[in-house]
Amino acid sequence: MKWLGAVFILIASVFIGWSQSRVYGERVRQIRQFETAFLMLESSIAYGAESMETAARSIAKSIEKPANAAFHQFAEALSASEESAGQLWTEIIWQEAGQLALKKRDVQIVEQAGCMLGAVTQAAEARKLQLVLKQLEKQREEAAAEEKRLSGMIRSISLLFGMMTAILLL
Amino acid sequence: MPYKTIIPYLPESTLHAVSPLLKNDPEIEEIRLRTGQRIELSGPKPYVLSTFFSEQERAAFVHKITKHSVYRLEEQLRRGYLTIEGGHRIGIAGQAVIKEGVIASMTNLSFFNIRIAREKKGAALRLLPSLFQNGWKSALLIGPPRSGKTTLLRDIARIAGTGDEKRGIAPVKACIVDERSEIAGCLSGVPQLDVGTRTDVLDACPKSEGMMMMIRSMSPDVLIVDEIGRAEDAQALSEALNAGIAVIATVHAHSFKEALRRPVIRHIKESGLFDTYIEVNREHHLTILKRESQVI
Repeated sequence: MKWLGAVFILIASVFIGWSQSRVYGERVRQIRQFETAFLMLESSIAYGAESMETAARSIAKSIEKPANAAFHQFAEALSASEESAGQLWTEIIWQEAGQLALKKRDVQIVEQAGCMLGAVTQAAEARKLQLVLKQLEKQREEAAAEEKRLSGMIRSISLLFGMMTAILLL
Repeated sequence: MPYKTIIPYLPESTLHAVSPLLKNDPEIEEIRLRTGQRIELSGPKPYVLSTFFSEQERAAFVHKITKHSVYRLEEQLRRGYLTIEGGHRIGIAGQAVIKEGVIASMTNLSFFNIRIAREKKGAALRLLPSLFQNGWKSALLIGPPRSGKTTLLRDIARIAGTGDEKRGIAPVKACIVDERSEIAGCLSGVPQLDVGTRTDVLDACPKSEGMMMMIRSMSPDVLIVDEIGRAEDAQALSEALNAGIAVIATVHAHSFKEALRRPVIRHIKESGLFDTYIEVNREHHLTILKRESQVI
């Protein structure tokens, strides 16, 4: 029975460590998703053929969960609301922030993409999105370094913690 | 209900204020929205409403007409108007952005004039005896703004492009050079108003260049063009008329006499380019003049 309990504790601590370390990888993945989305938006604006709503819908279809949800909601809101695209984007991104693995600073940068969105010229939109993309790239590099540094360590610590608790119990 | 396609573009409170009048008075031609001012509707009978067009409504209206996508409409904003579904035209004024001496765009959009496009099929029938005599004749329609010149032109295009079996008019290749998107009311290149089945439309293109492009590439039998007046227009007109194309055009003026004050129109008259001149007044009364400006 003691052995069974020890194995259970070991598995549980390894799982906790694994899921904690996964958060770091998830942050990198989600920042990349937003980078892809904003690149798509930039190219859509550059061609000037699609409205913001259509562009947001096609981005929502093209990118993976969970970032796609923000673009899907954004498209829905654009079709129904009298508010500006920037206001709508800010509301949606902070609503969605709880479902994302992004840090507050990452969300703030994503929010910046909405500033004057759809209200300025092609050139101004492109400049702003390029700035956001550069900032996101920096955040992604930082997140990747953090992942490399901490995720292995968290996994090892959780394994060691599990083994130590199991030994103490036995 | 020609204004039906305008409804989705109006902010809710503006819509509440204007819709009863739009329903009751089918003659309303324009809805004028000025930020901070009372809403105005004009037509034969003008209306000034007690409702103001607020800053909040202005913002909502801009979001709606641009579909949150100003980047798509830079060229239209530079020209000062945009066309919406149904062929209605929204004139825009605000703050012009000047780059290298030319208008690059428009910002702080604050004044709007929604011109309700109305098709009046059959409006040009009374002109047919002068315009069609074993073939289409060249004609210049002269009239002040809101006299219905464009409506007549659109109906002429429809009759030319579709034909009129009852009157023995076969459909011909008609081409419209629609610099201000008023004749065909094109949206994404597709006419929103009936301009005929054999009619080609060159939308938002400068008239003189457009006329030359149509002559070279579309071999029209009838060329339709709105509001001529520049020196280049006369040259393109002369090209078309000498190529045997019937040109039907309009010009802004209260009378033929007034139109002749413009050197271009005087030159056109002296060159004998048009067969007929037609004066239209705000009461839609027509005066048909021959080449020698004699009343028929």
